[in-house]
Amino acid sequence: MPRFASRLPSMRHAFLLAVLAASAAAQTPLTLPPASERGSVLLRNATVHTVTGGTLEGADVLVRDGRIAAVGTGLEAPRGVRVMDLTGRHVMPGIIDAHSHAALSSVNEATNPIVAEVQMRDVVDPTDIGLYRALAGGVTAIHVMHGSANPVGGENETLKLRWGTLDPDGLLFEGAPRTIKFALGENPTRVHGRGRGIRPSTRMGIEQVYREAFTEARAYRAAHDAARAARQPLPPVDRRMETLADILDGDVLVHCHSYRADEILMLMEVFRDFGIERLTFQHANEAFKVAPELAAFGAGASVFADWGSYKFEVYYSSAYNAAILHRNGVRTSVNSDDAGLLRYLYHEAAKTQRYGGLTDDEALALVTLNPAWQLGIDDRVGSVEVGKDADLAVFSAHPLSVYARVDYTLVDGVVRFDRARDGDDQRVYVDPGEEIVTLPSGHSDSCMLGVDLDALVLGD
Amino acid sequence: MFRRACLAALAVFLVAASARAQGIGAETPLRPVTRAVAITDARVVVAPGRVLERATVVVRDGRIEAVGERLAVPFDAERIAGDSLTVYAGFVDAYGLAGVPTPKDPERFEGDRGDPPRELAGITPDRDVRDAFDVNDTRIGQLRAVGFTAAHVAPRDGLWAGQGAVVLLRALGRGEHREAVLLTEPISLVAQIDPASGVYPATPMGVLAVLRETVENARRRGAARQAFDRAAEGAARPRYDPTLDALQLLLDGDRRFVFVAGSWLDGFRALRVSQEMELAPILAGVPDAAPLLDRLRRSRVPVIAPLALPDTVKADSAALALPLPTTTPGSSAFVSDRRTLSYRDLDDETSVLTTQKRAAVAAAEASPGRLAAAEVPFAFGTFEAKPGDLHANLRRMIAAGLSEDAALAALTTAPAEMLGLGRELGTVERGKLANLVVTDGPLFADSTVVRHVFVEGVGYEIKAADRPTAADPDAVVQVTGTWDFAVETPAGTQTGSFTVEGSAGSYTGSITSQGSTDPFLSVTVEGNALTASFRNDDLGALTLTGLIAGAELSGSIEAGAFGSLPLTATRRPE
Repeated sequence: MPRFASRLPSMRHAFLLAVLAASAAAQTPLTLPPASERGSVLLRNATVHTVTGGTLEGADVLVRDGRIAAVGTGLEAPRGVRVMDLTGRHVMPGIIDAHSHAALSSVNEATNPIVAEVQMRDVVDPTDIGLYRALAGGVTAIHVMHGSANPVGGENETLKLRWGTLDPDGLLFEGAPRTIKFALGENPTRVHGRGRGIRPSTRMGIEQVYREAFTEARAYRAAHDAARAARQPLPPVDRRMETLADILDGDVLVHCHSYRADEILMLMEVFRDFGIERLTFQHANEAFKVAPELAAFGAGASVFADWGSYKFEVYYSSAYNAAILHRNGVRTSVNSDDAGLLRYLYHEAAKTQRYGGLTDDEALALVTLNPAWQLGIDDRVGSVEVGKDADLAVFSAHPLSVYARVDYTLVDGVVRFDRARDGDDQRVYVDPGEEIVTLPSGHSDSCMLGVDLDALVLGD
Repeated sequence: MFRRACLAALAVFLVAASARAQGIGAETPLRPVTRAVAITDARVVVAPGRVLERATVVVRDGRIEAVGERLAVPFDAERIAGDSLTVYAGFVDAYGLAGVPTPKDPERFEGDRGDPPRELAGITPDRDVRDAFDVNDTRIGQLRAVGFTAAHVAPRDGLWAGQGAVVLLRALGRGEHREAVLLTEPISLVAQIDPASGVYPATPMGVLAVLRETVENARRRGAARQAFDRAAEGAARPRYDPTLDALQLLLDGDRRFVFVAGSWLDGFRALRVSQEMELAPILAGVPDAAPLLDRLRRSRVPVIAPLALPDTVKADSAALALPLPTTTPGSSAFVSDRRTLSYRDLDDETSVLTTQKRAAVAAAEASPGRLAAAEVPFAFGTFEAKPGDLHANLRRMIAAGLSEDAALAALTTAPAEMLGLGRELGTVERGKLANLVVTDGPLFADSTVVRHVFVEGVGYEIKAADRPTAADPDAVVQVTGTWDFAVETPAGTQTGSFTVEGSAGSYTGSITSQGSTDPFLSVTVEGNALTASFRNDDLGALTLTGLIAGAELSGSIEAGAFGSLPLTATRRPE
């Protein structure tokens, strides 16, 4: 037993009791309202970055039942509506990450080149602590995606970060359109071509996977339509084909993992041939080379701020990618694709001011309105406008400043992150079988090999 | 009806045939002297809440012939003086795996991983548990010794695992064919979120996609068959499809739809996909149902609650001094401030985390009580729980708020009703199957032990050696010596030996199997429980755990991704 603890038992006890007293005020998942809650609050006297309507100084935002009811100055709080004085603080629309794999129990169904039938909504895990950390970075919605193992992955899901719910359906962004993951290049050719010796082993092969699949899906839909028209029993359902046919009908937005300019052009050609219009390229590190073509197609691009060179097909990368795309009229967003970066998307957006000189509104749109448009939810979120959902982030300083930090994050008008009341244990659920590790042994495995860390720090 | 008669005739034929084939030998059970038993002057718990303080139970030919006070004992009945005994209805295991063999690992599959044979994918709704049922499984006797007399058993693996049936937990009698212990035809069809290994569907999301598609296609096939029956000319011929034919049984209401979920999160998923498939499930296996309570209550879904519980948490006095946080939403919070300011706070951090974990264990213990309070119909299932722990677990659940009557109901009447056997099982009443548990005291008291168990009138006296070993922190056992062990792996039984030396607090040892010897990295003994960890070049970190009774040890090896492998060992005489 460490000497410290045995010498000062009373102090230890006092500390623990103080801990308990303090915990009453803290906000933890169990003190949060249910996912169905829609809040009402008056945010008073803040600098409001509306993204669509400029920056308003000393402005108020009135939230009623989860929606923005009014934006202006001198607004009065209706009876019973809480007032938050935000003097000196900045309000912006909640940040939206168009590319995430947080809160998922499985990511890749990699056994087949086409798995359009699987759905990420089936494997949403509301206990992922990453959701709370994302709230601490002002994020209010994320697009959780299937992985990039297959030319056609599964359907993605758009989530609202209603942290505190255990019902996975509580996180679903109700009314958001269906989206699906496609993937080009090295990942699908490595998994299926090199890994199993089947198509696709080349970029050419990937194109043929799409052309065949869509042709087959057309025939599938036609056969079903014919059976319906003739009042015949329907042929067996094939959910893979159903989803592909829904893409052809424009009911599912495609988000495609891609890097190289040639493969980006290829997919736009395929989509033109099959009449598919809504398309966003994910990663798209070489998109700047084909920015005019993307703009002409009406495709979006969701890119990293300055991440590249992590494999061969990503060597030709540029931190100016987002700015070049934006200046060419491509709807562009900056995403994380990473549990850690998810919290710093406002920094990622700010990098486009250093690399490309975007204005404040342009930079903020990269992590708000533009990803909302790419996900088909821009009528609901992405800017501070009357009628939109009250998904808002409150910063201590200008959100594009390196000195800014998030003080509050509101989802549907409910404060789900409050820095001042940030309890230390935010787990929604504790596993009764968990192993308790207070001092991770990771250090002693490498640089501290053979050293008993306990003995070292406690002076035994 | 016709089918039932045929089965009966078949059974008679098979019994006769096997009796002739076996002949009379040392292995053949003797014919009982009498098929009548009377337990006299016992306290009889007829059903939860219905007690006869001093009554006699007469059993004949596998049925309860009479129950009552001041009954005449038939002249030919074997008498059991019940003055100090209590008679309960035999427990019914709502979901068990006793006698259900673990499928062998399949051969390496060389074909298209995206389109594997349906057996590899786990799509086997046509599989009948009765075909694989092993009447000689030792677990059957272990469960019987703690009071279980009948069990709904189901195939183990696969997303459509197959069809379950109810079996009687007794040994075969003289001249009996193994089918004699089967109480019902298949009554259930089991779904679970159990991805295939390395082939489609290899993920939970793939499993749910397959479940939806197969059910939808079973519906379409039913419609197509009807259309074909009306007008065959020119219509597509309905083809034989074992998957869809089996699922049609579900759609027709001929099978109960049992969805096994290993966690509350899978429970949410199971409830939603069931709703989408328009099937009413029984939700089985959720260890902590608290997060699902509202959903279960609203959707009126019955539950099969597991009798296994997480281990209790060891806590030092400082941790025990902390009040236990409740996990009821809104009522209180976790201890929330556990900031580790410096190394000086590590002990406090451990205490706070330990308290959180204790609360999580308490929530699991309270889960059945919460189901009862929310009026969610539920029955207990043993699943893979250790038989020796079951009575202790029931006591923990009762201490956490489950009423004794509700606990007894979940062991007897509730599973009987859930399985459609309310007229045959669940109570001590005239005409029911003679499945009884006879104890020497109140069922849920600490010191009570099971003395007799009757299964379809066949009596078993439960002696100390029959009782499965339970963890006992106060026991004193000899652990040192050389133990020969056998471990059940998917690739077959492996044998070897391990040695423990030294004395309490400083045990050492090593384990030898398949020509390689690995030293134990740690050996701890608490009461009769041995835990030894070691590393193996092929398998990585492994932990051997077991309970010692005399020179016998039973337990398991925890092998990371390979799961828990059952192990038995015997100490060599010195």
